[in-house]
Amino acid sequence: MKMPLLPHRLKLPGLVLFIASGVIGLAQIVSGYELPALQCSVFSLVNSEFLGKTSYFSWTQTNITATLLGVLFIVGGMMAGLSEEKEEDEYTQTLRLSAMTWAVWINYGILLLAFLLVYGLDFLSVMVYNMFTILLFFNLRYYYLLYLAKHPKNHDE
Amino acid sequence: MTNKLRVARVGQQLTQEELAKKVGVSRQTIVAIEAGNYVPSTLLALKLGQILGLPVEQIFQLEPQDIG
Repeated sequence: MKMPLLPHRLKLPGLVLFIASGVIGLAQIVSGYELPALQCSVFSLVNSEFLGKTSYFSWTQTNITATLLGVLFIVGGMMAGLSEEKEEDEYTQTLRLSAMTWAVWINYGILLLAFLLVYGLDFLSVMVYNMFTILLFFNLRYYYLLYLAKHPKNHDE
Repeated sequence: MTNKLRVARVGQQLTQEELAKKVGVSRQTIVAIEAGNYVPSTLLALKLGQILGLPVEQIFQLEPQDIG
């Protein structure tokens, strides 16, 4: 079965984007800093103001620092993990599938624990951050498996 | 499942890289099969048999636990 994958040339830029946005995003979460230049008016399908009204298909004023970092993390992560290898074959596809299964286990493990142990607004925070764990753990596991495959203990030629 | 790919390959005086090129996979795939870390698809197993000039069941053998 042929997997829907991106061309190999997108892998390296994807990795750079993924790592850079991940590191900067983590710093942004910790510091809460938002670039003033990214305060702008954006189109929204749904916009709920805190204790206010909900509007649909409207323009809203917001800072898009976190949004931008999130988009770059998702796009970079997908480019890094879902681009073809230089020598793409059924083994690399098996490694990718294995890594994806592993990531889903972790993602839903965290979700299950959050359901049982986290309440109130913090639960929403866990849910939001957990959206990114599939991409994160998928890529970590996938590149680890690729590393193991490329550095076998029993290679002879 | 066990396999005698390594023996069959050496018998044909092929390197892992050469065999990989002939069947259209990466060398890592051949390494993983020989190490027993990866069971190839039927298509790849048949290709390997054809290139090495051996029946597939002579390269790959089921173990008792595979049969259940």
